[in-house]
Amino acid sequence: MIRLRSSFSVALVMLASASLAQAADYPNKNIDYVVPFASGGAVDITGRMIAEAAPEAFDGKKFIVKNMPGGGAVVGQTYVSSAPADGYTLLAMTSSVINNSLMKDVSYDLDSFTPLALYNLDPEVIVTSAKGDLPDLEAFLAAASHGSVSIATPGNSTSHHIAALALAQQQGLDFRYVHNASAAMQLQQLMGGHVQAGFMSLGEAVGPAKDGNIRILAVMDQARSDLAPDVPTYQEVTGDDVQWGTFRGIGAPAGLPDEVEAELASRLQKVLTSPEFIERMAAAGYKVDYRDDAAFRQYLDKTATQMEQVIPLLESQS
Amino acid sequence: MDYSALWAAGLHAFSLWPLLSLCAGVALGLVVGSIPGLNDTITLAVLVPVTFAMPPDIAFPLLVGVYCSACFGGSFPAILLKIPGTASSVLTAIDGHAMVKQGKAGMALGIATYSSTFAGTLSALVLVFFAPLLAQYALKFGPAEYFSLSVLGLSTVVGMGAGNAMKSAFACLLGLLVAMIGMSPEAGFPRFTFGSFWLFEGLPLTPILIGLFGLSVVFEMLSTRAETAAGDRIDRTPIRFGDMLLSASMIKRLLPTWLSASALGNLIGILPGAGMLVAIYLAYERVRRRFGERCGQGLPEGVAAPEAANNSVVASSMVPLLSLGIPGNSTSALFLGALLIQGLRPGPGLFEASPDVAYLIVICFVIANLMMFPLGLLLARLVPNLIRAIPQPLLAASIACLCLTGAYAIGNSVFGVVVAVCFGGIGFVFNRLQVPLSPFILALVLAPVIERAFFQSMALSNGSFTYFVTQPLSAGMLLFTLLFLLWPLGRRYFRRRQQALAS
Repeated sequence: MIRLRSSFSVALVMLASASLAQAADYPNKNIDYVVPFASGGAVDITGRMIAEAAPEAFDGKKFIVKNMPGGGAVVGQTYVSSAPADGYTLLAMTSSVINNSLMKDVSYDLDSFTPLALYNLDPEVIVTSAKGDLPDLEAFLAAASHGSVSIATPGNSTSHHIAALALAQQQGLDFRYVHNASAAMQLQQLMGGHVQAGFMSLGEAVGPAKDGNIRILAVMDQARSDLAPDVPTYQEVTGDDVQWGTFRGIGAPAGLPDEVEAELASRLQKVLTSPEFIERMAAAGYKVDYRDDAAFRQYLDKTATQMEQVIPLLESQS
Repeated sequence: MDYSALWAAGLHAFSLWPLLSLCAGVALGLVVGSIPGLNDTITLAVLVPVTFAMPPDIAFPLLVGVYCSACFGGSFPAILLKIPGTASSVLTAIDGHAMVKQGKAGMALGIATYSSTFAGTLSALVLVFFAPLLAQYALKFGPAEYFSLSVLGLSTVVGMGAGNAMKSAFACLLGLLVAMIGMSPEAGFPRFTFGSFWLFEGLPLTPILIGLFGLSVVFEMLSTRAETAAGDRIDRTPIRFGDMLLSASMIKRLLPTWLSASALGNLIGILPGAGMLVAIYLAYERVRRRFGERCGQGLPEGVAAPEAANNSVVASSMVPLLSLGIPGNSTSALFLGALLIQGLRPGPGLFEASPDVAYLIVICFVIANLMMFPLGLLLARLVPNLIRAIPQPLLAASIACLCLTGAYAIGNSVFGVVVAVCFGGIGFVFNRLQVPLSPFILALVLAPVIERAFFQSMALSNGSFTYFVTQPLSAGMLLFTLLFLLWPLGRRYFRRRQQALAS
């Protein structure tokens, strides 16, 4: 058994050195694209669109989408953080990388990954039931500062829950949280008028709002979105600059050889900025906001700092 | 309702490619459903990315076909081997396998085919004509209603376990305990995770089912002597078509069961979240209440009720997706993905924005269910004889192989395999001690729903318990729960009084 294990590790070392030597002719095989969530969600769907567009920029090599759900994305993120840094394992990176490394006992942190590209930003919105008694943001804020307002979230400790906690603390609001198991159940509660308001991503809210089932009160971004041009920003209504949102990007394990990192970043840029990809994403309801590796790294650091300030709230709330 | 668009979509569905892909979908669904370890969710997860490049009128018939027939396919191994191919046939296994032991395998498969086709077609028609209406009713379900419905569902365990209420209660409590593992829905506190992130989201359901039902049977085969087992199996005449066709009197007898089970499936199946299993258990409970002790010993209604209920849930789980844009379960979440990728947004606008695809999808549900009948009979003619031709050791090995592969494939991790093997052992012990597995499964699935709904209700009502009885729907369901629980006691009391009077 010991002999087996040692020969196994020898093989691993040989594999690793072989891949170093091959960095120059990257990519020479298919690339694993790890989605740390079950199939069907936004990260999975957009990941599959990337995989579809990838071969053109990657010399015909394919992206193989691997769903590794579990532990609130910890399973997939751990897998990628400990995968060989050869450019053949990529991670669909979302804000959960930051949350998990700050709040859970995991073996990785933000520095365990090489950010490569950001392709989608989704600002946070406050929504109410279309049948509800809170027609606009002023009414919502007034109700939450005089009594408590029930807020549906897609789950405890999700970025939407954290957004609500942060807003409540900043503005002195009183929320009662109704935690669900998924965004779908959150939406059902809002549509049925069982809760007064909810926090979600703009991308999820646009469709039901168009159908007239929910009402978007405000978007927590610096400017109005093309997807919902009638919805005011939080700042327009209140004067306070409140920004929050989720992002979707692509990363790799830390310690990539420089040439591979450069290859990946430039090839991903080609994929993510191609008109066909942008069109495909638009058809599915996603806007492409491409940012390169350096800008993505900067964005991640900013989000991490923001998150670190909010985490104590989450820990003290229950 | 736009009847001309419906008519056009119907005609289009009968053109060559849509019909062929629907047929392929139904056949594929039957096969993956009948293989323990594979199910519709896994298959659709593999297929959805493949459908990217297809035109919608080929992509959706394929997906609809798989989704419709997989849960019917699950009844084959449930009946023949007592291994439910999918979670939806957990209860079919009880009476179905008892019928096989009585030499009525053909009839059991026939009942499953008739029930699935009848209820599936009925609920597909409901989907075509009443989807928006039902969707509005689904929205009325808030936290209090979910709580009461789940409690009602849980109350059906009282009658399970062939009269041994203690064993049922034990299995149920164990299920509740296992469901505690993972992050608490209210506070996000990790329970029984021992610091392992694998346990943060609780134990995954599908590997548990694979272990309890699939691997436990493999262990059972390993522990019985080969000669006796072989004698038990091979000594049977092959199944012919004639065995599977039901007589008019049998159809007349089963009709009320089919109707009530599909009604339950249609009403409860549309609720996002808990639908499928609660509908099946309630339908089975209705049969048990009517037939008492005979249920579980090869009663035709015991196969008809769960099979009718699970197939009506399939189409009705599409109601919230197509009319509101809310996916009701993990499989319809994949449908949502497939629709989005084709540039279609489900919701009330879907039928106006792209009536051709929207109506094609609902029509396909009807046709797929009708197609299940001949294809199902064909498969029922082939599979059992095939299973009997395979020597016992090979059969056990191939089941084990499929189970372990399936358990791995779900999360692409060995963790699923570990869970499946552990629960295989637990299932084996349960079977030996004659503890029923179905209360365990029900408790496992409903516990998180009950807990979450309870805390949600508390948040909404500021901690007032009267919230559950001041909501009329919720109060009604709690009343039914109480009746269900008191019924056996009351019946015993009346019987004693009658006996006392008679003597």
